Amino acid sequence: MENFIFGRYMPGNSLVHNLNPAMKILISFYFIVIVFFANNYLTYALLFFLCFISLYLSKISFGFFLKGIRPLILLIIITVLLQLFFSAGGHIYFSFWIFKITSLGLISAAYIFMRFMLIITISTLLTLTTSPLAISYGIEKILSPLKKIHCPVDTIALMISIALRFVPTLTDEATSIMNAQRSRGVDFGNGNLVKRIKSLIPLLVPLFVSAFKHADELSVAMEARGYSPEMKRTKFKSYLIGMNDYISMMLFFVISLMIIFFRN
Amino acid sequence: MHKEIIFKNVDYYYQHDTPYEYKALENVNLNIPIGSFTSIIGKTGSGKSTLVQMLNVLIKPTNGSIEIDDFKINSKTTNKNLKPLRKKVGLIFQFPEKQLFADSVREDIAFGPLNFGMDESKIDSVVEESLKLVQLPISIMNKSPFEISGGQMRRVAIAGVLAMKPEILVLDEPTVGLDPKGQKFIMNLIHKLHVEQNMTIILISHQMDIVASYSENVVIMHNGKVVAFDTAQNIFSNESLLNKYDLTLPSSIKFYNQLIANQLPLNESVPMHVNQLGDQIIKMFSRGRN
Repeated sequence: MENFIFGRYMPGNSLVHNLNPAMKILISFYFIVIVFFANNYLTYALLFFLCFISLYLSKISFGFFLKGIRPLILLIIITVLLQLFFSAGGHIYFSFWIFKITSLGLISAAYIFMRFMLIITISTLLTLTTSPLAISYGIEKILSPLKKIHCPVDTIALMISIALRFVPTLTDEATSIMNAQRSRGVDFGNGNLVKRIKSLIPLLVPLFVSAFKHADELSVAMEARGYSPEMKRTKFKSYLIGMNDYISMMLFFVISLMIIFFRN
Repeated sequence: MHKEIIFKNVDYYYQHDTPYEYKALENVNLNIPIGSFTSIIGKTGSGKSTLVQMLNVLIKPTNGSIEIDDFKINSKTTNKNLKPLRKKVGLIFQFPEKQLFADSVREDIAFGPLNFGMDESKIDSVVEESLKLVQLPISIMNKSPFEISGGQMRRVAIAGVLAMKPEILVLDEPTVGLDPKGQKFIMNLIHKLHVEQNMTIILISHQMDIVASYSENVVIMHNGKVVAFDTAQNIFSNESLLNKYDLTLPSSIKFYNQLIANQLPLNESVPMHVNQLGDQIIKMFSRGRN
């Protein structure tokens, strides 16, 4: 688990780190949409080029990045194999029982693989370069038009940031409870399925107890400092939309136009 | 069989080989005698808790090795067959009441012993014995561990570890967050286990009064290194050593130093406990009278 970087934030000071978070989230979603427009090798090459540039500008080392997404390879391989063996059409190269390798299957397996790689790269890059707080700010900004229909966007954003803020706290808590129970002779992840599930009870009960305790204490502390959901809140850190944001938006837009032009 | 717990060139890195890598222990060499009462002191983040977690193979040394009896722990130790070691070394963590989970106090105390394969028929007597040790009424046995008071929860959690009958007891700040009476009770209990059952005690604490009053040996840790290991008497006689690592003197010694500074003819050895200081003062006055 220690090497798993998917969904984690890595502090830094690069062009990608400093983009406006709302813009970054929108761009990432936009990228995921245009991935599905690509349908030949040239268009996929363009997308990989875009990923490569983003990764380069984020100053995150390439080796570290590849090593980090390695745990996801299994998922990718299974999907690719399913595509490879079970999609019909085109010339049949090989057939055994219910498995068939066809020319169309080969192509669609290659496409699935590339789509996976592209989407994982860009979403990992988003979370690696954007702090959890910035992400919740971005979501708040993106959802802010919903305020017009009395949707409590501020409260939702606060809930998201509190949830994100407590992930490391609860992880630490879980580790310390696990250690305590392991030294009392629990074998986590050993034995048959029933035994394994049973061994989770001594972990989950104290974890829930402490989560509720945290929630209770936090709500008291917030009220003590005068929190009220009706009040308009200001931001400690404001994110402006700068030149770099426009340039990166333009880059993604131009590439997407090229993809629509080159796809067949 | 070794008469010592031996740490040999132990290093430990959190998140080894990633950009988050952090060195928590560096070249730790330490021989803790079996049957002793040893305290580990040092600032927050000096590696005390990391060090004691290794005694139960909750984490493994990145480099170096640890020997406890016939057990040898190094980076290649597998997670199998650790139960005998974990039974031998009982770990009481910070805020141990967090580990309570069962429906009843009885079940929670019985949890450890049952995991280590104790006979179902012996459980009742073991639970009662442990409750007696921590001086809780037997009637508490059928209550839920979540409906008793905080101090009682701490005692139940400690009873749960003692029920495993460990030979080595490791405590990570067992008195933190308790009232003075509760603190005194826990420390007296540990002292009793040490004296009566000859249990090896390893105690992490920030309270110098407690460390000085009860321990035989003291280890000072600083930035992941062991910087001093000596008898409590020698460590606390060396004020400059303690100052160097931002540690304070026990109040008995502080008071003793003030008396010495005022030219009072006290005994030469620094008092480890307020009572010792009291004895010295009484002796001084009776000397003066003769």
